[in-house]
Formats: sequence, C-alpha cells, structure tokens
Amino acid sequence: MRLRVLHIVIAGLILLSATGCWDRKELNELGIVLAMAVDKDGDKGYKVSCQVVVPSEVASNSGKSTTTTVTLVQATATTIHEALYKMTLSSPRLSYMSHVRLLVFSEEVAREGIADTLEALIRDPNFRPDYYITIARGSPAEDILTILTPLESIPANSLFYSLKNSSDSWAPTIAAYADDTVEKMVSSGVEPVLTGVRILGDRVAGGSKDNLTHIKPEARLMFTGMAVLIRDRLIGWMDEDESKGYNYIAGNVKETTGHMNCPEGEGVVSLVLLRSTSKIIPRLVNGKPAFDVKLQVVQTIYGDSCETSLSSDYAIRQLQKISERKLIKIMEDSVNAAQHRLRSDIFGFGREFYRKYPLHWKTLAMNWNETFPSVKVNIEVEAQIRRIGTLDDSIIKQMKEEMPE
Amino acid sequence: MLEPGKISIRQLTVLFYLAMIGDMIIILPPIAAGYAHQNGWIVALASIPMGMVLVWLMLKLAAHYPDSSLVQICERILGRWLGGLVSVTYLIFFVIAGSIYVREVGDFLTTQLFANTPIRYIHLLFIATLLWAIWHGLESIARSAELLLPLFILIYIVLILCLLPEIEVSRLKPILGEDHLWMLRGTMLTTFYPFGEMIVFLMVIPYVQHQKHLKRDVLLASLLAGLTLALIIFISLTVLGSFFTQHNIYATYTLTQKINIGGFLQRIEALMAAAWVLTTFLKSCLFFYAFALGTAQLFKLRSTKPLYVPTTFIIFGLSLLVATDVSYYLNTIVPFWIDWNLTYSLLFPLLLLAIHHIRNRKKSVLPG
Repeated sequence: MRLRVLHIVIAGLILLSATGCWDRKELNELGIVLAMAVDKDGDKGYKVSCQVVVPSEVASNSGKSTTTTVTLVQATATTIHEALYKMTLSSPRLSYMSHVRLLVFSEEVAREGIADTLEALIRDPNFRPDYYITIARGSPAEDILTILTPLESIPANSLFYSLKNSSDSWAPTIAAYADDTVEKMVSSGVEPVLTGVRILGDRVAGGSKDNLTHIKPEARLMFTGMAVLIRDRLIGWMDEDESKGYNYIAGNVKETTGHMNCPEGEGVVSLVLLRSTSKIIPRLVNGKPAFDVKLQVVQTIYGDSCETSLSSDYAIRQLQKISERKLIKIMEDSVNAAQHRLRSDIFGFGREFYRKYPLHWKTLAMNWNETFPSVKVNIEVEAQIRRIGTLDDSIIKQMKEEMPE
Repeated sequence: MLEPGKISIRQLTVLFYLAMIGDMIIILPPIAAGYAHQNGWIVALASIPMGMVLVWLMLKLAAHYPDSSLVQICERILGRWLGGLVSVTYLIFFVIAGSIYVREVGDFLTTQLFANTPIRYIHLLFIATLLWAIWHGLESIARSAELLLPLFILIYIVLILCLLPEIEVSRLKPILGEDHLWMLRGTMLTTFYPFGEMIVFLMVIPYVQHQKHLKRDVLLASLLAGLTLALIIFISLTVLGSFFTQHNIYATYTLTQKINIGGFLQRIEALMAAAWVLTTFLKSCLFFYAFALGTAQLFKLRSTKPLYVPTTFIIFGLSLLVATDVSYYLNTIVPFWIDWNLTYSLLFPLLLLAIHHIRNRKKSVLPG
C-alpha cells in the first residue's frame, strides 16, 4: 500500500515536471516576426523594425478582413536585442524570432558594418540562420517592410520567394543566407555580396490596404543590383549585367535568359540558359597568382527574328561563338568592376588560390585586397546550343519571304 | 556479488557503441575543427586505429582478471593500500566525468531549447532518471541500450540523408595544408576523448557472461562508433564549413537546422537533441554506476544500493560546481580534460599491465 502511494506520488511528480512548462510560450502571446529591418537612428543607436503577422488576418476562414495582414513594430536602442525587447512598449506580444525570413539593412548601416548585428543574431538561439539578407536602396530599411504585396498576403513571404525564384531563374540577384554571409565575412580571400531591394512607386500608398485594390499596385518592391562588401562593410553596387557576370563566375546561375544579335543582318535571337557550370582554376605564373575561369553553358533558342535561317549546323555554330563572346564580355566587365572600381574579391579567387596553394597563400593573405586588383583573370566560355525550340524556321523570315515589303 | 545481473556480449557491444558516441557527437566536431580546421575529419579518422589500440590495451588488462572489476584489479595488482589509492583516483574521475556529462546536457538544453529554465531543474530531471536506471541494475541499463539503439540509428541515418544535398566537398580543401603539429594534437584529443573514456567499461566487463568474441565485438563497436563520429565531423565540415564547426558550441545541432528538403522537411533538429540526450544518458549512467559500484567494492560493502541516493546528491552538486559558466567549461575543462583521460586510459592501464607481468615473471622464476 505504501509502495503504491509512493508510486502515485512519483508518477504525479513526473507528470508535473516533464511538461516543460517553465519555458512555455503560448502561441496567442507571441508576435511572429517574419522580417526585420535595421536602420540607424542618429546617436540613439539602431532602429529595429519587425514585420509581425496579424494572426486573425492570415487565418483562412476569417471572412471579410478589416486590417492589414501584417503590422510593423519598432523600437530604437543601442543594441539589436535591447530594441527587440523594447518593442513590448508598443506591442502586446513578445517577438518570436525563429520564423524570420528576411533581414533588411539600410544603406547607412551597411556602410558602417553589419557584423555586430549578425553576431548578435547568430549567437541568439532563437534565430535560425536561414533568413536572407538584403540592403534597402533609396529608402530607409523600415519602409521596405511597410509595402503590402498582392499574391502573397504576407509581404515578407513575397520578398522571400521573389528573391529565391529570381536567384534561381533570373541571374542578377543573389539569395544570401545569413550563415553563408558570415562565413564569407570571416574567411580570407572571399568577400560577401548581398542583393539590393527598392520600392517602386508611391511609398506612402504602399502601406495601405488600398494598395492591393489596384490591379497594378501603387507601390511595389523590386530586387535590384548587387551590394558588394568588404568584410562587413558596403563598398558599392554592381549593376544588373555586372551582377549577372558575378553569378556566372560564382556558379550561381541555374537558369536565365538573354539575347544576342543575329550572325548577319538585323534582329536578335533570344536564348534560354538551361545549365551552367563554372570553375575557377588558380595558377602560379612566375610566383604570382593568376586565374582561369571556365564556364560551360547549355542553351536553347526561344525567339528568332533574324533574316537568315538558323536551322543549319553552321548557323548554330556561329550563334554559339557569338554567345560565347557575349558571356565573356559580361564576365570580364564584372571582374573589371570588382577589381578596379570596387576592389573587392567577391568571386573568392583568393579562397580558390588558398585551396590549391595553401603554402603560397600565407604570404599573400595579409595584403590580398591590394594584390587582387592586379591579378590576371582569363575567362573561357564553352557555349552549347542544343535545341531550337519547337520551330525549325523563323516566322518572321517566312513572313518576309512570302510578302516582301 | 554486488551486482547480481549478467549481461550478454551483444548487450555490452550495444552499450559500448552508444556510450562511446555519448556526448561526443556534439562535443567532438568543434574540438576536431578547432585543432585541424577543414582537416578535422582526417584527424577523426586517424584517431580510430589509435583509439582501437587503446581499447585493446584495456581489454588486455581485463582479460588477465576476467572476474574482477577495475577497482579489484588495482587491488590485486598493487595491493590493498596502493591499489586503493589508484582506485580512489579512478572513482573521483568517474564521478566528475559523470557530473560533467550531466552539465553538458544541462548547458545544451538551457542554451538551445529552454532558455529561461534554471539549469538545476533540468539536472534534477536528468539525474532522477539516472537514479531510476541505476536502481534497476546493470541488466536494465543494457536492455534499454538495446531498445534505444534502433531509435538512435534511425535518427542518425535520417539526419545524414537529409544533409546530403547540402554537402559541398570543396570546403574540405586544402587537404593537409595546415600546421601538422596542431593536427597531431587534434588526433590526441579525438583519440582520448571518445575512446579513452571507455575505461569505465572495465567496471562492467566482469558482469558479462563468459563467451568468446568479447574482444572482437568490443573492438568492432569502437570501430563503428569512431566511424559514426568521423562521419558527423565530415558532414559538419562540408555543410557548415570549418568556421561554424569550430566556433559554434553546438555545431551538430546547428547542422541539423540546415536541413530543408523541398521546403517541407525542415526544423527537425529536435530529433538531434533527442538522440544526443539519449546517448549521453547512457554514458552518464555508466559513470554513475561505475562510481557507486567501485566505492562499494573498495570499501567491501555488502550492497551497492545504499550508495545510489547519496551518489545522486554528489553528482547533482558537482554538476553545478564543475564549471562556473560555459566559457570555463569550454576554455578550461575541454583542453585540459585530456590529461585526465590520458592518465586513466593509458598510463594507469600500462602501469598495471607492466606490474602484472613483472610479478608474474617473478612468480614463474620462483621454484615450484
């Protein structure tokens, strides 16, 4: 009998203690943060803005809605975490950070350095390191989080998927995860790049629900250009073509499209790139580093407005040559911009060199940033056009042959 | 007999495998990467043969005295007083090591999962479970190890498979480009941490049913456990890179946070935490058990049971006292713990073996 009582008491104690209620967080007490923006507020420190989901708006059966799907909570403090906790002054819910998908820095913060913010976020176990980092162009970072988006009811998700898909299928953006960025910040011989994000249209109207009542929203968010950093500081921007060149060299291009001039006469051919593989091969030439970049692409024709027929082997080979020259030009421009305008080894040439010649690297590592602008980079492209779509001859050519103007 | 139970060789092998993985699945990757950076996996592989020699040495010592535990072996070789002294140092080692494993679990859970829960409540729950396991004896511990093995292997395989898409082998380059002296030190650590601490099995081996293949099976278990650990280090280096493997205190856990297959199979890192707590539980169980049993044998008590509850109190207190904070643990205990492991898993067994042989030779020289 006594044993049974003891067993019941022990079972009760286990039941009480094993629930882990000490650290319980009730879902209806949390504000789930999906995006975070970091601005500088003069001497007062960081102005942190969090885009928090309004749960009743996201629920599918909520019927007619009156408020926006997300709301913005802000606070200013010396450090990021102070600001995050200070937000409770204006928000009824404690910020829950493990669903953050996007971190936006203002240009000002990025120029001063993003390392202390990232250090705080990576150290905090409540953050998961799988959010993208971007830099706001032409507006404070907080404004990026105030634009409502169609299609995806939560703007942070819209930005997340837009960046993910554009980096997969439109070469000039880069989806930079926090942990990859930090790894590039701390390792020598490679510098991080981030994508810029810009508001198009009326910034004030974009925060209102009316923004979604137009087919063409009054304000939209768009990713544009690539931010080039040295360590954790923003140095400058690359335009679309230069960013594309970067992505080709870094091997980030999964799928993209482009165009080139016809071999003869007027018109353009548009091409869809299906696959690309790139390789950076470091060499030692007279004790100095030099690099070969080898790119292989497989393309297919998706549009042809040329006067001459493309349906011959010879024409295809000519097109391959033209496309090779064009890709080399794009990449050379990108390397030039990185070497001379920005002076930042975003391609990771130094890291590739270290991986092949670790002993030589020791002497180079200290002043790689000074050596990098003068290293020789040789680019080779092998472009293949495997398919020409579903037409063997151009409609435009046929039209002109049938009815000469 | 103080321990009425008997375990089979298979149970011993399973227990050995899980206990050797123990806390090391989270502790070892930062150590290996700390000394050898991207070559940490080579260090881990290189330590396997060395570690197996170490285990072989322990088994050799045990084979000379198949019915005696480590404490009894000390007494039989070195005599009542000197042997007792060596035994006492072993017991101190067991109890402090056991407390440190408890502390590791506490630190991990309070850092990653239960940020606001005071660590002593987590320790209390963990130690209460330990007491429960010890109370039911060695047979129960061994059987629960057998039950938990499929679970552990399932979690481990799922995690490894899910991480395969994230692997970037180029992160391992340059191979062998770093300072070789540091790599050698790294190999010492990856040898003596997982393999060396298995000296605790000398307290268990006398209770294994006498069968053939004891040596072969235990060596096989140590080989497999070594490979399991080396694979985790390899995956960690290729997925996270050497910086995060080295500087993330719980790199293996962060590693599992990277799992994201098709946008739906993700956030399964709690599995990793479960597997780790599970193996660490078995390891601390053994150290707890070894301490209690060894004390009873040393003082020739008739029963071990009265020692269990006091031992829980000692371990509970020590687990809070061993380190003032995580930094002390990382910067003081981890680099210097190797000296303990070296002494208890290599020096003392070698010494005991040497004296055993000298005495036996004397005996055989004597006429009659």
